[in-house]
Amino acid sequence: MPAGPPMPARSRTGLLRGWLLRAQWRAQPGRTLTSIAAVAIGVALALAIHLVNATALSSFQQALGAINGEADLRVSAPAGLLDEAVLDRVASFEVDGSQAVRIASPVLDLMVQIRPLAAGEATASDATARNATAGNATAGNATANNATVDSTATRAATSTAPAPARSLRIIATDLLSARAVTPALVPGGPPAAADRIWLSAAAWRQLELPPIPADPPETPAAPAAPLPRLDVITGAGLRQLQVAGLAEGIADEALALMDLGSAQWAFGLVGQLSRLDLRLVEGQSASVVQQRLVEHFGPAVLVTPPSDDGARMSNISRAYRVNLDMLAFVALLTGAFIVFAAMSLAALRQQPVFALFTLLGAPPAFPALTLLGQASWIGAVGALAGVAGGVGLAQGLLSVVGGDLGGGYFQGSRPTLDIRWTTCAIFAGLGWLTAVAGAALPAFASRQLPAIAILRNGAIQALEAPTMARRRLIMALALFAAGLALALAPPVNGLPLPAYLAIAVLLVAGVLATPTVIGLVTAIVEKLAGVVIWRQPPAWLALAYQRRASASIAIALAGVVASFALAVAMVVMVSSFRASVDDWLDTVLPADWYVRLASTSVPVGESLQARITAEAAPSRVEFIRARQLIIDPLSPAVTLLARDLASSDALAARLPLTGQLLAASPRHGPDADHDLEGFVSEAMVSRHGFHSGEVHSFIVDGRPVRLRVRGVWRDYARQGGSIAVTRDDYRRLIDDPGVTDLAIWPGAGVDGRALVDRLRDLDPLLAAGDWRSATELRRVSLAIFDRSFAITHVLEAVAIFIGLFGVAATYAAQALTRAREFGMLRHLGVGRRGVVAQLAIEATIGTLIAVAWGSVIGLAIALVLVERINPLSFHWTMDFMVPWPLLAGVALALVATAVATAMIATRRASSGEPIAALSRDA
Amino acid sequence: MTAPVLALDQLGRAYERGHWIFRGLALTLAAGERVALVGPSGSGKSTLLNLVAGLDLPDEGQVRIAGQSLAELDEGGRARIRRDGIGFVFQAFHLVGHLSLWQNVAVPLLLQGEAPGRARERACAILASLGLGQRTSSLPLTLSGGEQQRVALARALVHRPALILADEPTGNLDPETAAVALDLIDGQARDCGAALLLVTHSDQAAAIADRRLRLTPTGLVDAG
Repeated sequence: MPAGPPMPARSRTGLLRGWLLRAQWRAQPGRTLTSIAAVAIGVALALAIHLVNATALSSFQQALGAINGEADLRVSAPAGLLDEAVLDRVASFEVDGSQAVRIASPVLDLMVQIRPLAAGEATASDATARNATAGNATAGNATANNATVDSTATRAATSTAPAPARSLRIIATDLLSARAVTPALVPGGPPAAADRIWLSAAAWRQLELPPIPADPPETPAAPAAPLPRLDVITGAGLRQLQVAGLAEGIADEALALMDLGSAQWAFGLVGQLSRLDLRLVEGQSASVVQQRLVEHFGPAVLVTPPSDDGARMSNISRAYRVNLDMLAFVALLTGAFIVFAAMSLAALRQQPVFALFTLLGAPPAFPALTLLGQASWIGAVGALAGVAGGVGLAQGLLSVVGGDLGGGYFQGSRPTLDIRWTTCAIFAGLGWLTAVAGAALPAFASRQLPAIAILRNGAIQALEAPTMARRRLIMALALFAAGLALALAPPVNGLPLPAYLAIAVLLVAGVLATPTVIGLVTAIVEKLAGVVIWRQPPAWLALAYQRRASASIAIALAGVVASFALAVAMVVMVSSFRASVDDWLDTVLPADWYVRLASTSVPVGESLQARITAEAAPSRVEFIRARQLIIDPLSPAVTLLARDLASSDALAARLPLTGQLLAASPRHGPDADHDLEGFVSEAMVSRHGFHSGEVHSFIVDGRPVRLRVRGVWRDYARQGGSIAVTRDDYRRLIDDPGVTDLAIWPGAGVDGRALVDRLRDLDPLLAAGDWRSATELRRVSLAIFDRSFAITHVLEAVAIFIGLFGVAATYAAQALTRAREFGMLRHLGVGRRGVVAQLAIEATIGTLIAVAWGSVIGLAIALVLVERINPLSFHWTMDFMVPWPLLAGVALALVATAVATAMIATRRASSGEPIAALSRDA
Repeated sequence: MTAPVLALDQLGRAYERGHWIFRGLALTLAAGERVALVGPSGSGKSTLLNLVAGLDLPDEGQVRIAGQSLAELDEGGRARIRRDGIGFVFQAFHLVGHLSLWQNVAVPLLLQGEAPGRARERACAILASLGLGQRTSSLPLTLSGGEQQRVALARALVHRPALILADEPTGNLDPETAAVALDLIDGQARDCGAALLLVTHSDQAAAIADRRLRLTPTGLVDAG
C-alpha cells in the first residue's frame, strides 16, 4: 500500500515520547519539579519514619537477645520483686522426677534515678570530698566566705551546676550463673568489686559522660583518665557508684551492669530479685516446664518465655508505629494528587500534539503511554530523591532525637541506622506507583481524543455525559456507604486498619461527588440570584460555566478538595486531642507542686515521709505510691496508683471520669466479692476488659487482690493502663509503706517557693528529686504534645501547599483551554478587566465550593480519627472539637490565593492579541 | 489489476438516528489522481475526512484504502493505515512548536519504525528539496506562514504515502504564498505518484485537481 519502501514493524515511539518528555520539562519546569518534590517528600517522610521505627525495634530486640542470652524461661513476679528463697526452689525443680533446670540465674533489674558527678564533685556519702568541694566552691565565689560546711552550703556547692537526674536501667547478675545463661550481662572486672558499675556505650552517651577511655591508653606514659562516678538515688538516700568501664556486650541500649550482691546491698534490696533466667536441662520441654512451674507456684509468679518481652514491646509500640506509617502514607497520597493535578494540565497542554500524532498514525495507546511515561520519570526521579532524603532524614532523626519519634516507647535508644535496601526499594516503588497512579486518570481520559476537533479548536475539556454523571454519583454514594461501614468495622489483629482504609475511601468518594456538589450549588445560586445576575455578564458567564462544566472543573479542583479535607481532618484531630489534654491536665494537676522522688523500683520509706509531713505543716502533702503490674505478659505493664485520699469518693473527685460513677459497695464481711474499690483508665477496659461494675483479680507482692471497678477515667500519661485506689485501701492489703511521688498544696499564707526550698533541703534524697510546679508540668506536657505532633503539622503544611498548587494548576489549565473563549469575549467588547473579573468570580465560586465540600469530608475523616482510630490505637478517648476560627482563616487564605492565582493566569492568557488567541496553534 | 488507492462505497453518516449528514457517497481515487472536494460549511467535508482517515466509522457503506476495508480493522489497524499510507496537510499547519523542523518532519518516519539517524537524513533531504535545508534545526515559530506550510507538506510526504488528504491547505495563506504552496503540493504529489483528496473553498486550490466534486446530502456531484 505505501508508495515508499517497506518499513520495520516496530514504531520508534519511544524516541518520540522522549522528545515530548524533554519538551514537557522545558515547558513546565516548575510544575515538573513540584511533582518530583511532592513524590520525594512523601517517600522521604514515609521511609524515614519506617526506618527509624524499624531500627529502634530491631535494636531493642537485639538488646533483648543479649539480655535474654540463652535463657529458656523466665520467672518473675506479677508486681514487685521475688523473694530470693524462690531461687533454690526453682533451681532444684523437677519434672516427673527428673531435674528440670540446669542453671537458674538470679537477676535484679531496676530503673533508678541517677546523677553523673563531675570529677571531684562531692556527694552525700562522701564527707571528705564534700568538704573539699565546698571549700573550692566558696573560694571561687567572692561573696561566700563561710568556712564551715553545713548541709545548706553543701547543697549550694554541689548544685552550683547540678547535672539533671536521669533514669537508668541497671541489670545486676550473679557472675557465675550469668556466664552460662546471659553472658552479655556479665560485667567486666573482679567479681567482688563493690559499688562498681559498667555502662553500655548508649548509657555513656546518654549520661553525657567524658569520652570513653581508650584501653589501653594511647600513650603508655600518660596516666589513665579517672573514670566518672554516679550518684544513685536509693530508698535509703544517695549512694555513689564508681563507673568501672564499658559493658561490651550491650551497645545500643542505655543500661548499666552490676554484680548482684553489690546491687542488692547498694539499693537496700538484700534477699530480693527481679527475676530468674532459667537454662533447662537438655531434653526438657520449655512449655512443659513452664506449665509445671505455674502449677507449682500458682499466680504468685509469672513464668514466661523470654521472647514475650520482644513481642510485648512490638505490641505496645505497634499501634504508634502503624499510625506514623499511615500518616506518612497520607503524605504519599497527597503526592499523588499533586501529580494528578500536574499531569491533568500536562495532558491538556499536549492534547493538540497527541491529536496530531494520532492523525499521523501513532498507536491508539500513544497519548496514554506518553503521559504514563512522563509520570513514570517524575515518579522515578522523585522516588530516588525520596530514598536519599529518607535515609538522610532517618539518620538525622536518629542522631538528634534517637530512636523514639515521640511515642516514648524507645526513649534513650540511639541505635545506628539499619538501612535495609529492600525496604528502600519498596518505598521507592510505592513513590513511583504514586506518580503513575496520579497520571492514570488523565492518561485514561486521553485514550480517545477527538483528534480533528482538537486540531481545529485547540485543547478541550470534555463535558460529562449525563449517564456518566449518574454512574459517578452512584459510585460516590456507594463509597460513602463503604467508608461508613469500614469506619465502624472492628479492628484487624488489634489495629484499626479498616478505619484507616475508610479515610482513603471517604476521600475518593468526596472527590467523585465534587462535580455533583458544584453543579448543585451553582444551580441553586443561579436560581437565587434570579434576574439580578443577568445584569452582571462576568458573574453570569462565570456561574454558567461552573454549572455546565462542573465535571472538568471538579477534576482540576480535586487537589483542593482532597488536600483541604486532609488538612481539616488533621487540624480537628490535633485540636481535639490538645483541648482534651489541656482539660485533663486541669483535673490531674490540682496541687501547686509535684515531686518525683525515686523510681517505682526503689520507693521512699516512712521515716522520710514523716519528716516531710512535719516540715510542710500546715501545708498539705499527698503521698503517692506508683508501681508496675504485669497483668498480661504480652501487654504493657499496668501502673497501680495508690493515693493519699480519705475515701474512694474523694479519689473519684480527683479523676477525669469518662462515664458513670457507680455507688460505693461495702467490702467488709464474708460475702464481699472484692477487697478494694478503685478506678481504671480507658486502656484497662480495652486492653484487659476491666469494665465498670466488674470485679477483677491481679497479684501484688504474691497476694491476690480483687478490685471492684467503680468508674473509668481518662489517662493520657499511661498508655499501658492504670488503676487508681486510695493508699489506705492499698496498705490495708499490701505491706508496702513506700512512696514514689509527692503533691504539695502550700497552706494559706505560705510562700510556696520557700516551702519547696525547705523541703528540698530536708534530705539529699529530696534534693535529688524531680521538682516541678503544676504550671511547669502543664507547659512541659503541652510542649511534648506539640513536639509529638510536629510531624502532623508538617503533613498539614504539605496538604495546604498541595491545595494551593491545585488552585494554580486549575486556573492555569482553564487559561490554556479557554484562550479562544477569552479572545472571543474581547472581540465582543469585553475588556481585559472583564475577562479577568469573570475568571476571578469563577475562582471564588469554585474554591469556595471546594473548600466547603473539603471541610465536610475533612470533618467526616476527623470523626473517624477521633472516634475510631485513636481509641482503637491508643486506648484513650478525646472530645471532638472543631477550631472554627483557624479553619475559617485557612479557608479564606486558600480562596484569596485561588482568586489571585486565577487572575494572574487569566492576565497571562488574555495578554496576547485577541486574534492570536482565536487562531492559536498546537 | 491493482485496487484503487481510495474507494468510498455507498458511504453514509448520520449525526443522530435518521438524520443523515450525507449518504450514498461513492468515489474511487486511483494512484496519482487528484480530486478537489467542495461544498458549503456544514455539508460534512470534515466528517468525510474523518471517515477516510479512519478516525470515525460510517453508519453505512464502506471506506476502502488500497482494497482494505477500514471497518474490518481495529483501532490499531486503522492507525497503521494512516501511518503507512496517508499524508495529512492542514490549514493551520499543526507543527509541534517545541520540536525542530527536522524533528517535526521525522515524526511519521519514526512512527513507521525508521532508525533515528536515517529518519533525520530523510527529513533533512525533503526539507532541502523544499528550500529549507539551512533551517532544519530551527523551531517552527521562527518561520513565516508559507515556510510553515512547506514544513507541513514535507511531513505529509516524507514517508511517501499513497494518499494525501489536504484540508484547506491554503486557508491561512495570502494568494501569492498560497500559489507557491499549491505548486509544491501538486509537484510533490506527482513525484510521489500519490492520490490527492483536497478539501477546499478556494477556486485557486481546486484548480490543481483533475476533478471537482461537490458534497451534497445525497452524494458527490460533479462541480465542473
